Amino acid sequence: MLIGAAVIGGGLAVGVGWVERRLGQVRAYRLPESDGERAFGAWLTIDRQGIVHVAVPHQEMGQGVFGTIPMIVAEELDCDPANVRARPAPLAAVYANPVVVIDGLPLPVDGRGPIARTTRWTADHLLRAAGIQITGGSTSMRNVFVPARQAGASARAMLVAAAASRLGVPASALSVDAGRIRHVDSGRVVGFGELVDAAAAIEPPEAPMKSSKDFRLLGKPQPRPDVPSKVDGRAQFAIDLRLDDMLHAAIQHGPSIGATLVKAELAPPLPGVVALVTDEAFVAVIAESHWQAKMALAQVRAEWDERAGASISTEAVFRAFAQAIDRGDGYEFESDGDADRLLARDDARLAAEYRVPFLAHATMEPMNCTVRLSSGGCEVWVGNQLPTIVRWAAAKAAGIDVDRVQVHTPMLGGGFGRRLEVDTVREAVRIARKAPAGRAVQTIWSREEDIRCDVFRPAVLARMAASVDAEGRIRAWRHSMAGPSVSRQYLGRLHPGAVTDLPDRTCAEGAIDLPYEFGARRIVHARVDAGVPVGYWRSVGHSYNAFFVESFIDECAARAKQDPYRFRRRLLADRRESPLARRCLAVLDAVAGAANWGVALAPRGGVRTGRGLALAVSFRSIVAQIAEVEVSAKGRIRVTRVTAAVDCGFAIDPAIVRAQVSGAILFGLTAALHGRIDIEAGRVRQSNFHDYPLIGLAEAPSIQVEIVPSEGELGGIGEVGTPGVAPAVANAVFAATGTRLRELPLKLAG
Amino acid sequence: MIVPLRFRAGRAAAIGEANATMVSLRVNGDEREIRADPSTPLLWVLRDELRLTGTKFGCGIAVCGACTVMVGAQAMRSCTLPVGSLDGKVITTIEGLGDGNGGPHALQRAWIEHQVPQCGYCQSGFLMAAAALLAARRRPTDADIDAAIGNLCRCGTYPAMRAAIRSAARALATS
Repeated sequence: MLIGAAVIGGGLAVGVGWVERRLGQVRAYRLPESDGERAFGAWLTIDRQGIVHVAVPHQEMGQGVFGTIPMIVAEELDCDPANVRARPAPLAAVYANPVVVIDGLPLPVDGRGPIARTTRWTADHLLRAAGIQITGGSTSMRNVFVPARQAGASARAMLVAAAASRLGVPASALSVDAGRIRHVDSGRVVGFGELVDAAAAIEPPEAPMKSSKDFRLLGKPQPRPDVPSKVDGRAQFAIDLRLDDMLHAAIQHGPSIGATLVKAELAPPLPGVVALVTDEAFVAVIAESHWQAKMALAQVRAEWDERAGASISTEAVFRAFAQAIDRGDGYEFESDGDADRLLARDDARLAAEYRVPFLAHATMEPMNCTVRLSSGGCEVWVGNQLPTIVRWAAAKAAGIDVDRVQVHTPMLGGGFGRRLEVDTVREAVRIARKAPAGRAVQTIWSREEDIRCDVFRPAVLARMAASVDAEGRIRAWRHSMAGPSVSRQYLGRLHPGAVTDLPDRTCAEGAIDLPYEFGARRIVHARVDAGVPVGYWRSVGHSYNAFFVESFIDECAARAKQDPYRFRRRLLADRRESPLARRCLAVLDAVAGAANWGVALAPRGGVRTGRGLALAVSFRSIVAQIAEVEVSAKGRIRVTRVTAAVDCGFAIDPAIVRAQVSGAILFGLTAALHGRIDIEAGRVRQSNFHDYPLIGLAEAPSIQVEIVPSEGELGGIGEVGTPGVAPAVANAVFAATGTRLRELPLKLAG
Repeated sequence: MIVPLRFRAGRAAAIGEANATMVSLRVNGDEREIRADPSTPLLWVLRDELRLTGTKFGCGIAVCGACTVMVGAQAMRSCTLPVGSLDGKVITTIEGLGDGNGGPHALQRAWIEHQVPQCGYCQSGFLMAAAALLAARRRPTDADIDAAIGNLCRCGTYPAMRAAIRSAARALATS
């Protein structure tokens, strides 16, 4: 993301002095104390029964963060894990997530030079001062792991000091286990609950964190606290909010991209209808029940001006991409050696064109937002990945000060980047302004609105070229592509003044910082906006670049007449001096072993079978996967098994690591086999799950995820399974049929 | 208990007082009298009138299965099921799923044991579809599971679900 750039510019204007003062206040934040609880800084309170309440600053969308963050605190605190409760953290700058923004800065991933270090340091400080809470970019654990542990260790030291004073013994004579502090010599015991008043008054000491070899909870699977409520209907998503006086709204946007409303009328008045809401880009009906609103909306006669999107089509978009590459447009993200000259000299060079379509997020919980405007201000209930910005957006739409907006974030019925957007919030506030004051309005989008009015994963065109020598080394590698910049559009949606022409690193992630040895390389991305709204979609740039890179690596292996696994091994081994390449080798070997690479698949009647391999480094983790496919005589592709190996540094909860990687593989498999959004004359052709199908239970392959032990730094886990599955399947189809598929979704001619 | 839909008078309307009828339902063991236009889908009656929000809206066209409930012993998609067609029927939603003795259903226990849900939004529908399957077939094969459960999960919890269904079937067979 490029929020960083905007924040840096703004921050320098405001001045370093302000930042330093502000950071002092931010770091001093203590949680509010309710009855019988005492706060130990920003991360936890403990009550007199010894129950530990941990503030979770990230949103729960199935990644288990409401379980993991409390366990991180509990580990250092040495409390009884059964006595730990998660609670959403208040909106406060201390919970900012600078990691997700810094990852998006246009810097080499491991850049240690003075410019990279200074930029990161500045961005980190300014972002902490601005205090934006974000759940995204697979960064939650990287963001909280150290501060949450420090908070636990510090609270433990405060409790131990209070116990030492109470028992009249030195702190060094005490041991802590399961929330009880014991004087080793006398056997006297005092519980956390008895000590909270005295302990909370102690100045927080410097307390060392545990060595990971002493962990008792972390590194082992822990039961997730949200699971029981998700099997009996109790789990509350924003769409489930029921307030006594609540009204319901149904919304419809224009039929094409950029359409504006000319006029709309609803006649005659319908039962239960409270108001017809017309806005620049949507029409909505407020009614006493959602079904009444939906039925009335279907009766609204609306006239739209569709001129803005009339010329937008998938075909025109790809034509513009091709023209941009032909012209040699674009930002050069990497250039090492003279790749162009080497390629020009090689008459046998490989060249291929790849493309991926626009994709919708299709979270299972459709977009929805409930808003209550009253003399007290604005209350918002919405599943979202960035409550700080939801608050700003609601305040602006309501025309009130930010501090009069209260944001409630229940569990998210899927995020995948869609809930980083605040369009739903702005519109719901505008709708609520037309309701009687004090009555909340719950606006729910239909699935058709959700699919058609999404911000899509960008379509991208890539031209790959490589020069492969007789020994199977890649002497030159060129990756030229064209597509929209998500970050540029995203910032423009947040604030028109935030648009920047700085290069968007997320366009190139997965194409740059590759672990392989290439003699020379050139990676260029041409930004072509194309007029189609695009957004962050699980794994962002990696979601397409891994397909381009890992498919084309396979093409290079085939050209060299080498086994795709051995070929990749060689490209990694040639860079053995790089720690990343060494870790990649271990992951590659692990997946090859687990999937029995090299042992022929048993023949199956009537189908052709094959295995395909892909390796992807994303969000500072490494995933290699091997897909096994069956191709029927009619060309139908069925993925029967996927084996993955992952190095994410320390696996804080191995069960969650496996679940996230497995789920992300299936998310990517939908894109590999089915996903496409097509646009004609500005209109999105798909509308619901019948024409935007997802992988179902019957089609889902068996999945095995191996965790590779690692000394590497902590990596992300929520997105890292997605990038590699499409190329692994495409490579398996090639192994089975000899046909190279270079376009998603993967389809063989019958 | 009478829970009327809060309709106001209207004329020439797709829904409204003119078309409203009374429908008797037995929902999770309770008798409910619903006054509604008969074309109102059961989903919205459950969610907005009875406040049983465990049954989810996902697609509105009976494709994703997030709205699955049991009508009698059969799993059905409530988002396209007109409430007018259900007079006198026995409806079970996720809030009413259990072992019949006040405890959780074997599937719910297995779901927790296998830590199946991720975001959790689709899970009620899957559990209801799986419960109907196990009520009809005590030892379902993989093919039975594939044929009976056409629901959609965007988080990709399918492998854990399949394992949980198998383990619940084993638990039911030995109980």
